[in-house]
Amino acid sequence: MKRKIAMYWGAGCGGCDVSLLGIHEKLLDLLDEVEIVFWPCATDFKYEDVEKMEDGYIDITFYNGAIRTEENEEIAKLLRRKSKIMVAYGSCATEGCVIGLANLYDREEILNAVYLNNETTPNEKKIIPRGKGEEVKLPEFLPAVKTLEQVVKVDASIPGCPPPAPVLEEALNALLEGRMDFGKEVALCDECPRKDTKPDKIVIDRFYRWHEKEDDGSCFLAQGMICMGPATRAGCGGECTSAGIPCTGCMGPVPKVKNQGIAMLSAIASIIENMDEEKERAIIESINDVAGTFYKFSAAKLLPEGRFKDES
Amino acid sequence: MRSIVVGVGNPIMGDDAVGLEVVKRVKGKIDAEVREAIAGGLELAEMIADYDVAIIVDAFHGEGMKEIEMKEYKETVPNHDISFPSAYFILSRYVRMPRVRIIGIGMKDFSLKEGLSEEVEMLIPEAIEKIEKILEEENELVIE
Amino acid sequence: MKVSIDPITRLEGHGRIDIFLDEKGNVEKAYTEVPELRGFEMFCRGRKAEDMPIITARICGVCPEAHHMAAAKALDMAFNAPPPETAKKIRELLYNAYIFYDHALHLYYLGGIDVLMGDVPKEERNVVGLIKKFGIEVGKGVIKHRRYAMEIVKMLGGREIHPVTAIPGGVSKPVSEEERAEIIKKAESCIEFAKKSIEIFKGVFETKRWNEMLGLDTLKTYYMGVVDSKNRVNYYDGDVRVVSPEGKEVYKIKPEGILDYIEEHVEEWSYVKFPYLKEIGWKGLVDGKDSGIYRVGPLGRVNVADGMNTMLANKEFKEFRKNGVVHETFGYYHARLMELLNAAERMHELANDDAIVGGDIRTMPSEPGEGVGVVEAARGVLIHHYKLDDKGLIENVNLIVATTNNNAAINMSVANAARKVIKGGKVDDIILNKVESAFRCYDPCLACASHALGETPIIANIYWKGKLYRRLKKDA
Repeated sequence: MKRKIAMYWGAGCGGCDVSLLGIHEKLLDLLDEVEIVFWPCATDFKYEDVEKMEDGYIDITFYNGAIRTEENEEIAKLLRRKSKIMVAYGSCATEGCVIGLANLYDREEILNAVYLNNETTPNEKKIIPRGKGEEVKLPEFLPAVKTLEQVVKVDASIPGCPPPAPVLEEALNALLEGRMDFGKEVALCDECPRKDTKPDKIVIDRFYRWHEKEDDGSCFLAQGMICMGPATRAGCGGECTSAGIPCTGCMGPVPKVKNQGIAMLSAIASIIENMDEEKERAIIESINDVAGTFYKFSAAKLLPEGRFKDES
Repeated sequence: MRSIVVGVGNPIMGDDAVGLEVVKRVKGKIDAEVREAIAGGLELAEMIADYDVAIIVDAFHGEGMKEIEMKEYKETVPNHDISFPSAYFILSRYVRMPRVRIIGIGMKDFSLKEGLSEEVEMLIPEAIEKIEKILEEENELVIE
Repeated sequence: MKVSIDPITRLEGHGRIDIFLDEKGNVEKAYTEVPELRGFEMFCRGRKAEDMPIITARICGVCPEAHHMAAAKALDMAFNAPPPETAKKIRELLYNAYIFYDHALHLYYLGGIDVLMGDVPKEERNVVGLIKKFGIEVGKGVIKHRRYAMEIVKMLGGREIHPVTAIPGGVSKPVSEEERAEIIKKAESCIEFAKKSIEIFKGVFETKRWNEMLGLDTLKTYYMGVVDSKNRVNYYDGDVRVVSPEGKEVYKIKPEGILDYIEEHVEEWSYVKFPYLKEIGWKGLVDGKDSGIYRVGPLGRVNVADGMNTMLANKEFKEFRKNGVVHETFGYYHARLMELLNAAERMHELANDDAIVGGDIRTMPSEPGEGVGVVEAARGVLIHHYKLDDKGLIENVNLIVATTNNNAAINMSVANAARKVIKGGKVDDIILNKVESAFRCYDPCLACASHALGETPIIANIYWKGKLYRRLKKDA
């Protein structure tokens, strides 16, 4: 009998949905084995169809996208009830992805920047959308971005932004066989075409932003450019580094590292031990935007409740 | 007596991960809460605050295994914000902090990779024994 | 009485349609609401400029190339680093591959299903139903050619989804001869596929008059699109042209000036704003030459242009535009098919151009300043505007995103469709789908539309059990 699967998006970008099509011809084989019972991107089943299902009716639900609004949370809980297995699909659901950077800011700041202090939005009535009385209810924009497991129990996660085809294929095969063990255990460096020039120790005077220097083809860390490879999980085959860009960490942490950002930050900080103050300062200043560099995809995990409120 | 054992280290910096490895192996086998931390400092101080006794296992630049005094304790990676001893003293003004014992394991290879060197791997059983011994000692000091 | 379609499906993003019926069961009003917002305009502040092509790609995983390029072009300007010819052509080739796969996605997985499948129950209105009706070979053809285009994207952009190679001043990776040969072969096949798609679709929609099908309307709006120096459609680069409902050119603006001509209106019932032409003004959800509402996307582009830059597509263009500007909303599908062909032909042309395998792929950036990048996403005009500080970090961001431009028109088309097909309170799955198919013409990307939502001295607040105990300060 065909397994029933669902794919849903919270505050996502659609990339994870498209990535499911990224297995290309294998999609036809997949459709022989599964029946898609809910997937707003590509099918017409509505929320009312899900509500009518019995609890546990869906074999596997893939939830991509972060929890940014009330609706994202409600539907996550609805789908959790109706599913046997719930999988956090992609970086947004697993660790918040770039959307999580919003947790560095206050909700009011964000709404102001979009609706009140925007150069092309006169908005004399100073409207911030919240719905139109009883007629139209807009779901609340939550105070902070949450990951899927902050709102429901998650049985497995597939990392990546979006999960690259080989990662997805391995995960799908495992899940359809009832296994939860999939994914590589090693760091990206293992698959990177530049690994032969990876330094044991980072010995540099300053960091270069990678638009400031011509790439000479060797390991980015050896060139003095920050690459998240050592703290990032392998699986993508080193696509970005092969294309001339350092790894930004979208596959999430290596399994034994729970906090990707701090592992890398700490590794970088280790080079400034025993340096004189001036050199130290130069290096620190050459980093710029610590949150955006080391926590680009995991800021929601760094600040799970959003920004701390100043009580004084 | 409520005890906690915390392994401190960075899993992607070679032998710096030894603290984490040690505590992974005692988890579930001793009568204490077992946790892991990457950075020391404030994170570590907060983690141990509610306990009577805290044992910290960390790598250090040197050789062999030894117990380290709080005032000598330097994290392998300087934090520049707040070191563990300072964080400990600040918190102790507001909250009852535990007695702290620190086990240090000397590193051979502090470089950007995963995995421990053989020499350091061999020190792990000694460190585990030391943890058990410390727990016994501390227990004897308590009068129920 | 209120009827809700929740969520709307077969598109990118979140949406809901609320239809209000009067006592007779006829439609009084309808709202197409977008309940999603993520706040890119805020959280991009403080980020490193060169991260923007990577971060903004995540505004949309269906059209990441559009944001990636708009960001790169804004940074080319902000860093005063115009890319060399080879880099421009590599970017344009990548971009046409994207237009191809995005239109193919819409035509065969998203909106196009309404046209091809007709009035069938919801279980069949998807790609699985399509394969059952048209045969597995059609399904395989769609999958194969989307794969070809995405493989080209990966070769030039580094990854299939969320490319990385467009950097300030150029691209990070050149094209090899082997890659070029592969691209030429794939592009040839894509041209054939595009021709076949036009046949398949025409075979269906010429059996009925356009507007009667699906309850679609005719809106006499302004149109906006990017054109090259010969006023032909160009997705990657050009000037922004606006024409009136009568088809007369009203503006032709350099990209950096476009934001002076647009303003955005806010309504309480949707997170997505409503852009309009500033000079004409916001007159509410109405069309006509006194209302500042304009449409973008395939129909917008084809209406502002005088031709297409490739041979076969231009033939289709001449036929389509023989009576002047086309206002029927269904025209979006025909325009989209024409662009599918145009993108395939353009890919082939660029891959055959020797400049594509050149070695000069990058101009190094100079001092950071301000920049605007404009491209045509599959769904319409996309504008990124960045202000950088002297360290090259983002001080301010404004994004006007393709589908946002169509927000007013989408609302009008949906309301008109609802009025046409809902009478006497009778609603069912098929009737409601006709209402939804009105927005699907526009191929909306609501994640894009709702993208939007600050030398640090350190203050550490120590919280213990929920209370602030101590504050530690470290000045800059």
